[in-house]
Amino acid sequence: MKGVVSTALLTFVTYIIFTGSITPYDLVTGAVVAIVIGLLVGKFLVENDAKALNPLRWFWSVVYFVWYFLVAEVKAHLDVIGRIITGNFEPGIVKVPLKVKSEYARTLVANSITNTPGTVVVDVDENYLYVNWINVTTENPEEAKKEICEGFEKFAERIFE
Amino acid sequence: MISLLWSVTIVSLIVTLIISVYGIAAKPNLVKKLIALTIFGDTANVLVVLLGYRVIYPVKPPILPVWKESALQSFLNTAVDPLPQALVLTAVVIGMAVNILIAFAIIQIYRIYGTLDVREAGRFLPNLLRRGE
Amino acid sequence: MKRLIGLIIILTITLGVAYYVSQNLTPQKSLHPLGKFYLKNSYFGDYSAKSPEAVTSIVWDYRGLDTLFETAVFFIAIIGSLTLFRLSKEQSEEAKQGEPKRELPEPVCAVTKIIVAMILAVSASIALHGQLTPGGGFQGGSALAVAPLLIIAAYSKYALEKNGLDKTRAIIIRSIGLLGIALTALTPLLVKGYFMQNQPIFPGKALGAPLGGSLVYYNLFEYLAVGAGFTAVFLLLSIPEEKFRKFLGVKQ
Repeated sequence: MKGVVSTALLTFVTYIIFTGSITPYDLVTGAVVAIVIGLLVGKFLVENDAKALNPLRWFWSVVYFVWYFLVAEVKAHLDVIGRIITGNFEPGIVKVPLKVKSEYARTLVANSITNTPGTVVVDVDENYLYVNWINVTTENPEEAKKEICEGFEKFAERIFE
Repeated sequence: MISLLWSVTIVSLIVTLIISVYGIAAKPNLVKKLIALTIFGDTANVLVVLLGYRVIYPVKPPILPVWKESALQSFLNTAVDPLPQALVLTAVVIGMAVNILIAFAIIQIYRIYGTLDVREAGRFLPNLLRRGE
Repeated sequence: MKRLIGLIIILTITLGVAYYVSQNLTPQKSLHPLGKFYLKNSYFGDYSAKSPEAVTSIVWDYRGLDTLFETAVFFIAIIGSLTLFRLSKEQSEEAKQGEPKRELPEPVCAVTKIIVAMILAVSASIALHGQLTPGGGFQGGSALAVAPLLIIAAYSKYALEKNGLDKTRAIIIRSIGLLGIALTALTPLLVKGYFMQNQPIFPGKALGAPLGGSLVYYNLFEYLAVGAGFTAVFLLLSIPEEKFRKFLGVKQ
């Protein structure tokens, strides 16, 4: 019964948003579908129910969402706009160490890096991300990490670990 | 102007049909034949959907927006014809299943004969028939 | 260059013919009488299917018999595909031997897991709202088949088979779907109706939304049949090439 509740919750929210109405018919069919899908795929999605339903982690993910789209994205966009206008860039691939271990946390960090303009994750292995960076200022992994993804990893640790 | 656009749409669909028939007949490669066949099927479906279209400005899908008797008249004035859409709906899924069947046959032909060219594959065929005596 | 000339000739002929045709062509502005009948009757009226979606009510009510036979064509096409790739019992056991492993980088697989759950929800929503919004059993089933396809791409087909969804199960689910369609079509005969009758035998409205009588059941069963049928086909397609060549005894 691992992961059924949290997966059912995710599925139910998706179902209602996709349907776009909340008549009793939608709620009943949505609940049935959510429970069935939760029983089918829940155990593959979630490893620890207490972690997935912890309100503190949800709070941090909302904070992360707001911070990411209002601060990190804006900063990266402005930086890339400046580089496009001045033509001042020096692309290259750098190695970035990754501290977090759980699958979802690593995914969150990698996708956050890819989604900000100027940096793209090209490969992942056990301990390192390989990032294609628009302006390589340093090839030292620790320093590159400080510039690329320190904020992302801090939040990923709070949300998923 | 509207009638010119309308006739360009229909004539270009018919030209696509002709080109895809040419593709089915003239290309020796089986995969290219299958691609031409899917283009043929999809163009035919678009042509059928176009039969039910109405060239008027606020044009709506055939779904009753408000479940009241009073909304029926404006619905009839703006909705497109649902019948061709219903016929195409099943044809699309059947077409997909039939394409899968043909694709499986092509894969199997490639595995056994090692070629996709119908001219070369045809050379193997008499042997196979002789073996089956 | 030679290709360009052919292209230009085709374009000129097309535009010329289109211009010639357009002089005598009036774009269609009115409905055909048959289409008008369906639009008028799908929710109100004496021949109502009690569904605001005219397309679904044609597919499974007014022209239900057509759709029943088209489903039979679908059934036979899938059977044909399975027959072309048929394996003996030992061979299909051997085709299942393999370890599930990640075939794509870690973030892609993690996202795939979440996306699969969401696709299942979306496809169920498409199928169960076929009588209210565009959609229905065929479209929902096609969306459902995307989920196993994603798992095959990210985790290999052995991940599906080790967790219980092998070809036989998929065919069983598909047969349940087809059986459900047949039983829904036969039910009216029990209460002295005719074959595939919809109203007034099935409830037209429940839980604050129009159900369209039997439409919702047909959509649900068609959803299962189409989704599981395509899943069986994808499972066969993803058998590795070397194994299949070995089964066929072809050396290359």
